[in-house]
Amino acid sequence: MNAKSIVTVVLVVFVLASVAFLVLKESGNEGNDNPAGETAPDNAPGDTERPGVAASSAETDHTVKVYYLYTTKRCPTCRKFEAYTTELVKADFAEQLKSGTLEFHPLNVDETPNGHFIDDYQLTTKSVVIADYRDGEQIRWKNLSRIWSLVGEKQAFMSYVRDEIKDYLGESLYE
Amino acid sequence: MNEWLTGAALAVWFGILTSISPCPLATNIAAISYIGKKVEHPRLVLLTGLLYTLGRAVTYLVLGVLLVKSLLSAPHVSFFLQRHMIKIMGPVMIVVGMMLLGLVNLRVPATGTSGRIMDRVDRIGIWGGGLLGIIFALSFCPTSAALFFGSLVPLAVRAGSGVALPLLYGVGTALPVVVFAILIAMGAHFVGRAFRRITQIELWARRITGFLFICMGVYFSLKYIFKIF
Repeated sequence: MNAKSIVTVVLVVFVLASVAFLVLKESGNEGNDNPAGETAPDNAPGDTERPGVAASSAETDHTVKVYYLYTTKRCPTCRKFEAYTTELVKADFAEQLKSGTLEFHPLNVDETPNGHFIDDYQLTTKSVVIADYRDGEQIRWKNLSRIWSLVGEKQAFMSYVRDEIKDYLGESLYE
Repeated sequence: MNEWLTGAALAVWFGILTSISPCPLATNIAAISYIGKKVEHPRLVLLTGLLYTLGRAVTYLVLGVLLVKSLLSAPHVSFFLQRHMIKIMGPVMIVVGMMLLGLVNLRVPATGTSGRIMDRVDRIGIWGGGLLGIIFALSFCPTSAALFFGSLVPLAVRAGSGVALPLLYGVGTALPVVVFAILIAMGAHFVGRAFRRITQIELWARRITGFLFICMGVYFSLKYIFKIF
């Protein structure tokens, strides 16, 4: 058997193994949307809570929730979204985070309990979403889709997200 | 009219942005090398590039029509394609690479002269450009999903243009790739002619393309199927 035949056989075996593995894994995952189970990054605020899951602070009747909704397959751009949003929320809204007026939840929508966010917020890819809750009921939400065009300019990105959060927090700040 | 022209320009721009964003870099390199490999025949490079563009444009057109007419749910289609298409890319690219390197041969009828057989193989190679366009267009990454589903589709809905704008977006996504492929092929063609080595250059262009496809296919399989990285 010459080198060309060996390479051919190795590649054919690799392709067949890949297809077989894929088919087995996908059939095993039917009804379970969490193929890889990558968890939210370490030290992420709200990491221990899961909305749809996480209840708002009992003391406040007005809560703004900031979601960073990602998938198991991460990418450098998506990691920037999370890093910038985490930095912004911690730096500019520490007081609101502490009081419970603001919550930040990075969540993997590929995990079964979070899959509903795709329909709830009409997601087509990873995004930052803010939601306004009054007395535990969501009254409005916004998908901050411009983050995709602003991710190259950190200050513009942070300014955009900051303004949107402030707008949602606005009424409670002046009530 | 002005509004439509603005929408058309935006659609092409979204397509170009998709193409030059980092996430489809690997598939773009593969496409450039596939389109530009026939350095001996600039006409074939151009035809392959046109079919690649057509493949992409028609794919986005079909998706656009279905989404604008609300026959499909944008969130579901977007996440489905992002989750699954990338997984079949690895095996597909390995098979294409093996075909380019001649490790597996297409069954070509043995009738006629060898020249005719070569013509048929060339034609399959050109049509392969169209097929590649379709497969690569469907393999959405987060950036292309954001631009297509998040920017282009809402624009098409507002403009009531489910056909023209997705079509122009598809042309935009292929434009940088095809231009680069033609420039590289032309450069190689002139260098080859100057040094009377064009046949050898084409042979090596084909081998390098095949090798690139196999490397990327193995990488995609290890990363997205076996999750080794």
